[in-house]
Amino acid sequence: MFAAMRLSVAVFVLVFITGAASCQVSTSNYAYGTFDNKGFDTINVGNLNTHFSIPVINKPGRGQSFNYNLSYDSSVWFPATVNGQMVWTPVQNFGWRGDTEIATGYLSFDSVSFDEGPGGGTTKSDECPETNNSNFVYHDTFGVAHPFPGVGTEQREGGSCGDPAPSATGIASDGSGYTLNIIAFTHGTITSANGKAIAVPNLNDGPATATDSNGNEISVNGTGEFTDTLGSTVLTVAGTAPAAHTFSYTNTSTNPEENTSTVTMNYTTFTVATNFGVSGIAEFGATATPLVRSVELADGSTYSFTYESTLGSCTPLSGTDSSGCVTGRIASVSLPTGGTISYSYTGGSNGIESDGSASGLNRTDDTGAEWSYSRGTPSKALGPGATWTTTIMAPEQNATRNTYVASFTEDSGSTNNPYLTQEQFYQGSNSPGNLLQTTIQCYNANFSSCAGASVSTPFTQVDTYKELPNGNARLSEILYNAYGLVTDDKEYNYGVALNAAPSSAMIIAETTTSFNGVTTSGIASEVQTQVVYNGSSASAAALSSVTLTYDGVATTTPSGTTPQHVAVSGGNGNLTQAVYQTGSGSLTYNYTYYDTGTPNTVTGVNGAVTTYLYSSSSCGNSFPTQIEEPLGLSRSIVWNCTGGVATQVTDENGNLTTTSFTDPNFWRPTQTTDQENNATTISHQGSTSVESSLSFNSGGSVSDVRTTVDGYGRPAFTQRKQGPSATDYDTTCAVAVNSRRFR
Amino acid sequence: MCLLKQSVIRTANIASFICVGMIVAMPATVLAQQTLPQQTNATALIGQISNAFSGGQVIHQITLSGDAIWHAGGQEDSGPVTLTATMTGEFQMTLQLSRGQKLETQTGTGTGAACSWTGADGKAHNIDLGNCWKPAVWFLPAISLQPSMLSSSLVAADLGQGVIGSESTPYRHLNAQLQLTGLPAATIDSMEKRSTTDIGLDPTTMLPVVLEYKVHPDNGASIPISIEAHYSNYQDVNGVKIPFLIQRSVNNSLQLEITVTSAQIN
Repeated sequence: MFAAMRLSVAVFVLVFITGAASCQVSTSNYAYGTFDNKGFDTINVGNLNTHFSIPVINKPGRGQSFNYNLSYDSSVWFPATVNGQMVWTPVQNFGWRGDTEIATGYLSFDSVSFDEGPGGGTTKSDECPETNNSNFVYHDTFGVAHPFPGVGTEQREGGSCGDPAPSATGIASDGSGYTLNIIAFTHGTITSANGKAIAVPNLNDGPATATDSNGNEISVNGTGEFTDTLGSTVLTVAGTAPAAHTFSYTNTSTNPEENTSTVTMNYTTFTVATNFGVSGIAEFGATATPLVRSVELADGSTYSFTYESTLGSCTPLSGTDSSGCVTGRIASVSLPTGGTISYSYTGGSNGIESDGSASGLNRTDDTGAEWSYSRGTPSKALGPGATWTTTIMAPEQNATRNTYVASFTEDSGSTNNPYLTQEQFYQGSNSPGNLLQTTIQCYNANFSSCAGASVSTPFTQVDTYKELPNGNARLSEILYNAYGLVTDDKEYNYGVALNAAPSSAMIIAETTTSFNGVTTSGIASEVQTQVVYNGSSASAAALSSVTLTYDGVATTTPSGTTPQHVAVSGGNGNLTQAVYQTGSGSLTYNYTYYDTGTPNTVTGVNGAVTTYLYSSSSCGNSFPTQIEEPLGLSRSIVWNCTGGVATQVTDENGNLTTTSFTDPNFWRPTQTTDQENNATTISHQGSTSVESSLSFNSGGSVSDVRTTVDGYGRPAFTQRKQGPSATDYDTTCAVAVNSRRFR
Repeated sequence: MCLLKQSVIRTANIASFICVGMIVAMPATVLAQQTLPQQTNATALIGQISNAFSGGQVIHQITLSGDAIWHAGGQEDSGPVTLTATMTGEFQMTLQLSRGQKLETQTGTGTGAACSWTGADGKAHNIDLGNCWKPAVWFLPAISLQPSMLSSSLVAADLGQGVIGSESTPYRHLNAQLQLTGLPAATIDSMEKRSTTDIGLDPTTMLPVVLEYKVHPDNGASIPISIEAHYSNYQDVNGVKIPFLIQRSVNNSLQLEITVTSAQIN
């Protein structure tokens, strides 16, 4: 049923660092958006953008991990206007993130230069030529665009005129919590709500640094070398399309001649041309363009891609793929696990709307299961204030296709994002008798006729009603601060009235959260107090509360040299005390830290102290090498700094647990040995099955389990071997999950 | 309301760049600062272009009249067109289309340029100065390549035979861009990139066949849009070679076809 549709309304109140001009289709999974997560790919239900990512390397670090995943968004066209004439224009890299953008994001802006000329202005400065920079947008590592409306700089060119506005600051309007601080016209830093600062580049490639609130730094230089917080060259990117684009990292081998693994992005040069036929928008003419044809992982497994054919007559240019012209919109993805996902674009003008978004989308897998997404005619030309519906039909089951209908309104504020105002789930077709549930979403305390109502960011309040077919509704009301952090969560009981501000008498639970505020430490996400009420905070008793203190104790400098660590100003955001109210009493935890932000001591409610010890010779003070616990107990840990993984743990009794990493391509365990020296080997058979085998009882017994995934990476069945020397598996466990369940 | 005149020159001596001429072949020491792949004798090449264009006589202004077809996403419009270009690089194109008049105007050249377009609403819309940083009139580049009008603010290079824009045929390749000194590095860099224009010459006639440059969208977003002009059906008008068919493409899609019916040389 609809549980299988797995539609989700994603509300990200705090986005940690893990591209596009303001007129481009919104990409990736932004805060308050509505997305249909299909596993490998995620579809934006509002604008039908398809997003997916392919992991290259994700390595733990000190304060911040290094995460590098090739990500893609399918909305590759937008109408740019030149001299008043719109023309289809591709986004950068035809939807793939840039090399640096993947790790740090980048900052785009619009820049217009003009000169009012002598006497053209009212003051001396008006006589100077000037450049106005505006519409700053931070494109994060996932490809989400975060706009900073109102942030602008002004640069004058005349020596005597000066520069009236070289700097500016502002908060992203989309609730992501990012703050932009421009210090030199177009250059500056992005700071997340948790204090992580990124010296963000203006291009999606090139040098950049990302520094957390304790000074731990990830950096990339101008030649594609990324350095993590451990001081390791964690990734090297080389090659430019149409030549292969390579992403190299150090693998598990200790042999210098074999210790590099590479992910390769291969290109084929196509003739890209559009023939969308949207009135008033000039087509993109035939252009030889390298498009990503495959991504080959270190083990040789491959993702491969095909592209939508250009409608009508188009002769491929000399030297390009001769099979035909393509639009550059993705047509299929074949996965290393063997499955293929196909996309076709429907409705609108040859499958596209006037803003470049897909008007309809059919997503089909190898089994023939088809998810169809179709958008209704917008209330007006797509843009701020436009409204439309998206109807999703699930694959046929028992001769029935379940239906989901969602209403969207495009932001009248500074984002291009569509936001959900109503969604309805049907068992079968979308007739009233099949309706299972209606969700109505109201924004910024506008309660009247929310379905299809105007929506404008930033959001300070989102009210989500869940209405049953009998008209009975309940409500979750979430209040946000300027950083998109939840300050109040009110849960209302069934019976709450629609189209009006809810009565506080209907509140059954409320959680209030206060924050220190950036003026205290520069870190927006520091929770000061959080209180849970058994009803409304105005009248009900508090069930629990916690009061938190940050940076209340001076940090300690660890011994030796700590790489990739710089001094930072402002607060560190380290929690140093947590006080939990327990009736009339309280329980208190105290914490101290090193200047890297790694924990030093934890003092429990009874005064017992746990101490964490680090070593500069062990991954640059990044991971604890010894943990001294109360009662004189301790455990120690040995780390492999290349992979950022623990290889040996000595427990409080002096017994060892070891983990081996010998896979030639990936940093994944191949064997673990427990305290009694029983070894479990873990082996991967291609991309579709993994088997763990625990031999014990001196080899007389075995626990051998093989899990096999389907062509889309979803666990399909699990098998257990019948004995230590058996070659057969217990068939009674076969087909634990039917793949149809994933539909 | 003041009249906007677009510029981004970071020098007090702005006037010196306004209404001066066009391209100069820079000394080797200056060219060495460029990233151009090859710097041969652009002065000689420009001289050949000028000779081919007008036999070396100085041309002050040319007005072309003809018919135009405008293409836009399946829509087509047509009507008479008048194009005027001066040796200083200023130009105006007036299109009388059935859906209304379109004007494209440039006053001044290079860093001193000011550009605007007027559409069906009848209002003049200013164009970002960076889109004006072009060293040649797009519909008649040869008038901008007269040696007596070359400006020291521009650099040019003869790149030999090369493929330009969407053309698959190699032509004699003249590359030109603006370069000023005494400005912040970022301004110089931006100016070089946004002023870069490639002109392809018929190796036999030495007349322009193709011209290609990039502009940014009207909102100033840093997204390159390719503009390409093609010239053919050259005819002699009072000793001046005029292309009687001019085509302009945006993002490799034909936007404007101009069939010249008459030319007035001054």
